[in-house]
Amino acid sequence: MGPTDAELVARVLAGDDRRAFAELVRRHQSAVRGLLRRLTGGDAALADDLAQETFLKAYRALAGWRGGAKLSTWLHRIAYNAWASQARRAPSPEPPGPEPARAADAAAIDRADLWRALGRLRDEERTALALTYAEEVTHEEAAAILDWPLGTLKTHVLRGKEKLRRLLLPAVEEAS
Amino acid sequence: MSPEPEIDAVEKQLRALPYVDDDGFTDRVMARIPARRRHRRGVVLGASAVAVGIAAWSMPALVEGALAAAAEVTAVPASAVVAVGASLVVLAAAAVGRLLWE
Repeated sequence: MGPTDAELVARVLAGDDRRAFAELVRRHQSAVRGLLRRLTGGDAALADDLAQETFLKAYRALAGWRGGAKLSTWLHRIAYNAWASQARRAPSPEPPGPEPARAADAAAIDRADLWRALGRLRDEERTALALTYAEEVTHEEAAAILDWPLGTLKTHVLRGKEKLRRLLLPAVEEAS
Repeated sequence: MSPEPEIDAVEKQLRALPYVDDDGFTDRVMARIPARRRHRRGVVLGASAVAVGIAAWSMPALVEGALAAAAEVTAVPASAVVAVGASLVVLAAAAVGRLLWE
């Protein structure tokens, strides 16, 4: 078992241990980049730019992580703020690319189509879903990151999922 | 009430968290980390020595009194005390300069 996140952070703060910080990046890069891919509606290049920015900000602000919340939650907050700043500077136009394809059956939803469908949601709905389903983030932590009441978060999650169903699933025949 | 398969399918994909390969990402981040942090203790020590030197230059009467007292206590000639003190100030200034411009 390797060092904990807290131990690695302590090494970075004590002696600017670059290897320790690199290990932290390696551990958390997948979760951060995955979150940002969902927030950007599948734009991997933009997500990776924002992910780099996230870790650079984390490096500069590492002394601010008190160890109370999980490091992953702290990183998710920084990542979300990076995406939100970028979205304010360059609001996304109507979703580019083709509409997501409806699944042939309920069991078969392509990941790329999920990302495209996420891109068609309102920002609040996409944000709520991206954070709620992020790795190691509870509903309460997601609400705290977004600075929303928990009820508001759950409402956006429900509405977002309803829209995804309409976009991705076979049309349901109306009951006679 | 029977389960709704549509929710399960969307829920399933939302919950799926495929691993994103590092593929050089960590290296790119580390390449952008700023230069190694300065050693603050050395900077503070050096800056203090420089400040003392500047103060000594601007307050000759005070320095004279201090040197006379030091010579009395140590039984070392005042000129030697001056030489040692000046050397320390020069070394400290050199250390600060190196740290700032390395």
